[in-house]
Amino acid sequence: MNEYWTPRVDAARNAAMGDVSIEDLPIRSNETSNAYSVRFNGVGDYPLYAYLHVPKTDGPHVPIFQAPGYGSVVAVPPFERRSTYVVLALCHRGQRLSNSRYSAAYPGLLTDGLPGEDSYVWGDIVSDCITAVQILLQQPNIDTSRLAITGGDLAYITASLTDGVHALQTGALMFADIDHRTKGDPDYPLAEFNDFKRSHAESWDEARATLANFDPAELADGVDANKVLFSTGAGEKAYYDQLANRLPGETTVNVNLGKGHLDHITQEDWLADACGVNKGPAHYPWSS
Amino acid sequence: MTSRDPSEFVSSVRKPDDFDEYWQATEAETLAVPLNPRLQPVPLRSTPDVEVFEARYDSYGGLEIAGWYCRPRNFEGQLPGYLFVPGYVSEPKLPTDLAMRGYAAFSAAPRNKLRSNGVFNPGYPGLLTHNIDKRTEYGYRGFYMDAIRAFDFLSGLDEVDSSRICVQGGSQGGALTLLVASLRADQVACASAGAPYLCSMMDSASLTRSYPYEEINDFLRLHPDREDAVRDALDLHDIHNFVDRIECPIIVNIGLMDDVCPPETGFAVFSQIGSQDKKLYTYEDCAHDSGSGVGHDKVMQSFLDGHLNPVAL
Repeated sequence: MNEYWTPRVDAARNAAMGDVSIEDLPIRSNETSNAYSVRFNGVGDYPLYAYLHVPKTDGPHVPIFQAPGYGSVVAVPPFERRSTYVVLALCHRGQRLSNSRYSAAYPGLLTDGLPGEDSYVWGDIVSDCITAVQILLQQPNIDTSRLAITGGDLAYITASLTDGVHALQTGALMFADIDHRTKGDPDYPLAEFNDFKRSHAESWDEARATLANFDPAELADGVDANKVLFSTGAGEKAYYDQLANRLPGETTVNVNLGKGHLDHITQEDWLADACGVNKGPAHYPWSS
Repeated sequence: MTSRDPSEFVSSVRKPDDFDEYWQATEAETLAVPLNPRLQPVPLRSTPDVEVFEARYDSYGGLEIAGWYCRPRNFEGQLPGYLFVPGYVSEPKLPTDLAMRGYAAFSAAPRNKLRSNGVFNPGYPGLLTHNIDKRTEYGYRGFYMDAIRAFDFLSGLDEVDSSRICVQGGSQGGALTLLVASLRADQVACASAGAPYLCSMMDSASLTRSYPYEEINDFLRLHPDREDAVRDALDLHDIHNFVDRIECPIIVNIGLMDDVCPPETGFAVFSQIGSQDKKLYTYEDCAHDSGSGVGHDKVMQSFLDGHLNPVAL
């Protein structure tokens, strides 16, 4: 871990020692799992919210940290996950339900606070994730040796900065290969980097140095999960193959078929196999 | 898992007797609020090729609604218009790519979306069940009108050729596409609706356990006594009941394993569309992506460009 991350990880872990409020959330509980609202403070005493889902079956259960994606809304975890795993789904600072002090803009969040290392908001966002993982690990009736983390950049970065991760399911990393992928006219959110370059050309070198702290290649040495799945498009397979070669765990690079149902099955089957559990019931086609 | 043929599904949606009257009154109430369209340049997001504007207008109940408007920086004459309507949880895209294709593009952020949620903000989950058992106070009443007024905003711009405007979106955007094509049937030139949501809503909740429809199951689990009232409110707002008015050329795409918007409901709503020039694209083994990963985006682009003839930059 480098000079940038060490103090941030320490602060994030300390934040997890603070008060945590866990309240029943009956509206999102169902026949297979109970739902809870989790409230705690991240670094800087920032108030955060997360969904916690606990299966009604006997434990201990595999804990999953479902890292937030790039968007204002954090979805309630899928039915089959809630039925099988203890799932914590965090709303990081700026997302809905964690936006009492700061509301993220889309587009805007990806470059918010650049160019400075200390002002770039993603340092605190990653800290929120690290704090949330520690709170997940404090929950009763879980098998902490099988911690799984799923999601995009925040899953990968959190796994890199967290010891003892068993399974990491990730892909479509925004911070990957930025210099190459921002050439031409990329779609948002990557286009945010080009907007920044165009309007703050004199600051791009400093911004680029800050962004290196989030570069998957720079963080690869910290990713020591036992099992890793990268899901990717065919055009980016070579990048993920290279990344996979640097990880010590059993790593799979799966090229998505572009058929959402099959790709979803591949990912959920991999997760169940990696964690040694039976996959939850399919929720469509549903036969109650 | 059971064997199934979603094309044989029969929707349980019924059309309330006061459906047309209700929506005429809702639209009249909406039109009584001056649109008051505003455009503010956004230099940060503008490029040498595309100008970006933050858009604002007033809608049902007097709420201020936001959007993004993009157009080619250099053009001659009038541009074809492209209304993009958003999905349920995603923020409206900034449609610079559509401007690059030669469109005057408007991306609407109906109430509850960021920048349009100062007054109405039930959140996600939350919007689908906001006042779901109160038929005239249901959250989608105003939301639908925001989409209609987004079309009016775009069609009212001087640089837009009002005879060449399309509507497009997926999921909730697919629903709003069908809605706008229905309530502006004499003005929409063509439309493309993907994986349409808000169709056969009560049926959908029984077909899947995925959100957003799971919100309905959540609500009824806590309030089983409200089921009749919920069905009544949803019938009054179900897209299934609008689409017989559609006249324009239209394509619809669905994934045959879509757990979010079950394909049964896509087949059902497609069968109701009034236009004679309609085509349904079905994609095996696709879910809510509804073919976007296997080439449907090109099909859609070709269909819309073929009708509207934009001049790409």
